[in-house]
Amino acid sequence: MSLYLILSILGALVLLSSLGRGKRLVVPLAIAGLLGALAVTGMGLGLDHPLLKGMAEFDRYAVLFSCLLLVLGTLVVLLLTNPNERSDIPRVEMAALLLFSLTGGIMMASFAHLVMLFLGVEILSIPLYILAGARKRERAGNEAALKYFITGSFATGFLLFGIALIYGATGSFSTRAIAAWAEANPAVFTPMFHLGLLLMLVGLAFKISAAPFHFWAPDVYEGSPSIVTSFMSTVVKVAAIAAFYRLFSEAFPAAADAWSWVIAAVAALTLAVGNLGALAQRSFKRLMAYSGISHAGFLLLALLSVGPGSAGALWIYAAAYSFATLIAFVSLLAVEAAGGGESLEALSGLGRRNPFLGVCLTISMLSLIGVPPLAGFFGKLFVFGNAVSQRHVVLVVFAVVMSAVGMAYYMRPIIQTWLRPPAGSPFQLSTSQAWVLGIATAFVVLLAAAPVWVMRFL
Amino acid sequence: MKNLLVVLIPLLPLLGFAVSGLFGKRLGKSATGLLASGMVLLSFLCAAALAMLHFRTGDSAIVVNLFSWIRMPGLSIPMGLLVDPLSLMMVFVVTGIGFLIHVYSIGYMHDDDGVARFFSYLNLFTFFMLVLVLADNFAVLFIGWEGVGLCSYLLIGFWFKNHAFNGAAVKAFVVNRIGDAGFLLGLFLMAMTFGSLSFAEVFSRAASFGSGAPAITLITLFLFIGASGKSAQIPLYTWLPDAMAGPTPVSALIHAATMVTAGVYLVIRSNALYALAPLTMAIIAAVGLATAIWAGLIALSQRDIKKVLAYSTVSQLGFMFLALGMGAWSTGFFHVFTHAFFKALLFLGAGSVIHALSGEQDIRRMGGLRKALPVTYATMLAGTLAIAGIPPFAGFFSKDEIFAKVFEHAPALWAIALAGAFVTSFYMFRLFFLVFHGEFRGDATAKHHLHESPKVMTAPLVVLALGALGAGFAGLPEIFGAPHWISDFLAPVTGRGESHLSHATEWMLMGASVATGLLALLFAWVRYGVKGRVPAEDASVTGVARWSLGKFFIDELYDRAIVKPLFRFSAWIHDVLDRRGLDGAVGAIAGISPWLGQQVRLLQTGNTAFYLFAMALGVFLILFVATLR
Repeated sequence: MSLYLILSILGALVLLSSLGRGKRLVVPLAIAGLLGALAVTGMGLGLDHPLLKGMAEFDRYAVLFSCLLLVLGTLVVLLLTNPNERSDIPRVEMAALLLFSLTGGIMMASFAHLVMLFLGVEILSIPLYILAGARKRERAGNEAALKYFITGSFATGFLLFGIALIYGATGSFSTRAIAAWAEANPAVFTPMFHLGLLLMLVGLAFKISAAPFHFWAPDVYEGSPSIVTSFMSTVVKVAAIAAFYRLFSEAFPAAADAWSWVIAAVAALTLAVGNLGALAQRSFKRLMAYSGISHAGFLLLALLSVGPGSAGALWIYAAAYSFATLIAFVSLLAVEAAGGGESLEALSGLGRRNPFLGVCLTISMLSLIGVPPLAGFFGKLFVFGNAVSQRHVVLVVFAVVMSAVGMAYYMRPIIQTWLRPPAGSPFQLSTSQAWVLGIATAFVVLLAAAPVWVMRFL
Repeated sequence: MKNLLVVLIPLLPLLGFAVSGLFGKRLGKSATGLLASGMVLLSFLCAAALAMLHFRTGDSAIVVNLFSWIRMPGLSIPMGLLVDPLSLMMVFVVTGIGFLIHVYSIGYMHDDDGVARFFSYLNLFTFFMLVLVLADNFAVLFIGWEGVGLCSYLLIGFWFKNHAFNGAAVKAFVVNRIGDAGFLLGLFLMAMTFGSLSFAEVFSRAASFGSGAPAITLITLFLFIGASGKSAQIPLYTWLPDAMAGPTPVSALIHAATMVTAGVYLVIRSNALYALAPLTMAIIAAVGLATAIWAGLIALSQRDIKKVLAYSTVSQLGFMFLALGMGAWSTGFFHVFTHAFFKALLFLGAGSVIHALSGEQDIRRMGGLRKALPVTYATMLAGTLAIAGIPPFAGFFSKDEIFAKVFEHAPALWAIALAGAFVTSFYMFRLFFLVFHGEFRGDATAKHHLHESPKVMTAPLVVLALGALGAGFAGLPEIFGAPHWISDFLAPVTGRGESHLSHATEWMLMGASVATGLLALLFAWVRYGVKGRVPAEDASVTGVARWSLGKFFIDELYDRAIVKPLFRFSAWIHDVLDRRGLDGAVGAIAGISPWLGQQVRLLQTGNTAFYLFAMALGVFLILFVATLR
């Protein structure tokens, strides 16, 4: 609970500070608060104690994902200080909204009760609907916000209906009680239970932008300010997959027969749509949107093979994906600030315009492909390995073919960066961008040493 | 404290690599050189401190587990470092001789533009070599193994603007890949057989297999293939002479004193396995002896000063393997130890000569350099006496010990090895007299330009010459009544070898090898010192000498028998299988993917109502299939 409180109060403080002349303090305050929260979480305070009368629990899984979310959130907030960023975004309000959204994300990683899950999803999403339209005078932003809101509400409907049906079937919101009920009544999965399960699955599949519930993602990612997009494709995706895994591994393991085929089908479709869709993109931002979809497919593979080590595999994959994606978005922000657009051509000659950025972007793309020894390789290694050990061989083969397709489009930014003539003069990164890039790249490189540690911690 | 020292040993050169690699240009040439040398010196001092702190107390090993590197069901590999007498001695050789060569390089590379790059590679090499010798399991050893290989290619191709040098780097790379493939197979087989790659576990589990067990024979053979790639043994030796394209300090450090002995180190380290594989031991002895003679014969008529030394390295490595084949582990190591001194010395001396002649490497254009290069002359003389096995120089003791062990096992092999020693002494003194005695044979400008190298280069020469003189006393023969320090120190790792030879026989053997060495010296003196013969031009060489000069045409044989057919096969594959078969299939997939991509893109209409419809359709489909099941 302390973490929820810290972050909510922090968000409120940030809003308050905008009233006086404290505007400049907003981001430092937010960062300090986030680092404090990270320290509290990282030290494992309150580990394994039920919170809110058992509605939430900070077990090791929750702590690990919360730390990841907090680090990612801190990096995104840090990007807000960038002086090169266009001035038509309301920084204070954005910082506060990002903090609120992050609070929701952490609830999604630590719930033990379906109401908390629902609250988490909504607290995560509602600030995002606003954030998507942060540039209120821009048509694309407005359209993105509205689209996100409408499709998001639609998905929330499914989720809520699913929760209601599960409650009706089992008489409880607690994940433990639901799991116990499913364990006790293996033969009689009532239609109500079955339907509730599948509807919840649909609601969460929307949040991680899995096909065929992904249509919002490219449009919303493209229309939102790039900072918000970076938040959506990292924090939101990680929170959603964390909740997805937590729900299905804790509440529904006994009913695996009823949902695993759906996940398999959705994962295969998502892999196909994400990777093939990315091939046809000319805009780097949209390419990253499709990349996000394709990685949702890989993440679902981890969900499919719930067992010892699968949570660790999921975390490593999620961390590898989100740090690499963050690097890509910082590159996009930097290029936009230097006068380039969102197209792939805007990246051309980046390696000569700013070598540090070029190298970081290259490492990020290589990690997304899954080149050893970067973090992305270990993510894929563990996820695929787990899936194979659970006999999803055909799906893994398909996933491997799709990651080969992935190589085709991830190479394009690298080629633009190093082999094309510069699209403009050399430029400097702002201090905050350089820090974010450095930290994220360090994670992408150093996470390769972490797998064993993560597995042992879980 | 001890653990920290252990970690610092490899870490310091890595730090040096990072700093000189990143900031070398900004630091300037001399600062980079000093920094790189300083890091190696510091890691030498760490090793010395460790030796003082730890090995006086009589314990035999320190194991430091940094972190768990790979953990899978049935196999876990820690990132572990092991300091025991063997690895400590290797650390001393690598950092001690490495330091001298670093210092020498400050002078040698002074006029080169890529000094920062050079020193960063050299430091990186030292780091990987230290990882190799400090590894406490085969997997970590393999990291070092590949790492030193990488640095070796980088440094061979250091002057990458020269195309032939790139070719040499590629050749070294390819030949080493063959060896590494063997090594890897050995590792896999080992992991399968023993379920572990850690030295301690593998060796203790191997003990339960009997002598001559097929699995162990196979593993040791594979490891030996790896070793013979790295240590340039028949048939994988051809890369080492070409590797002389690199700067001379590199030849001294990597291709003489340290990296090429990694194969010998590997076998000594795994002696517990090899002791159980008599077949492999016999093969090692045969390959070692054959290489020693073969490379010696080629060295007889080479004209390039570095090529002579390169073949002599191959030949000396052969002698080391011969010792290992006899099961004389500490003897093999003793020769690694003394060889490191005198071969580094010879290479650095050759470098000093080349430096004085502004890059000339052909010994026919040298001669009479004694007066112009007095320090180089004196130190090279020490090195030559050492390698020729003239007492009391270092090579005498280690080579004599090898010969004694060989005689004990197989007197016939001893006779052949003795012939090898004769050849060694002869080609080394041929080189020595051709370079330093007689009249200068270069042109007038070169003569005018002759100069002794700066102190920063001669000082390491002097230190190494003292080593070439004194290193042998670390292992005095038993009959001298003094303790054999090396073999005592290594006993926890290699066990203690027993000698069954009578004193009279030992004296006789010693006398025979000294006489052989002196006889060869005499022949060389008469031929090149007194008569002043100079190697003839290539075209006029006939008969056996022509074969020796042409290196027995092994490169050509490999080219005809392996390289060209491979290229032809590859062209065939490209034509038939690839272009007509696979390309068609891949082309179809590659063609269809963008098309599918377009379809996906077209679905993305931007119409929210359609998105909602698609979602609803998805839900409907899922529920529909669910009811069917």
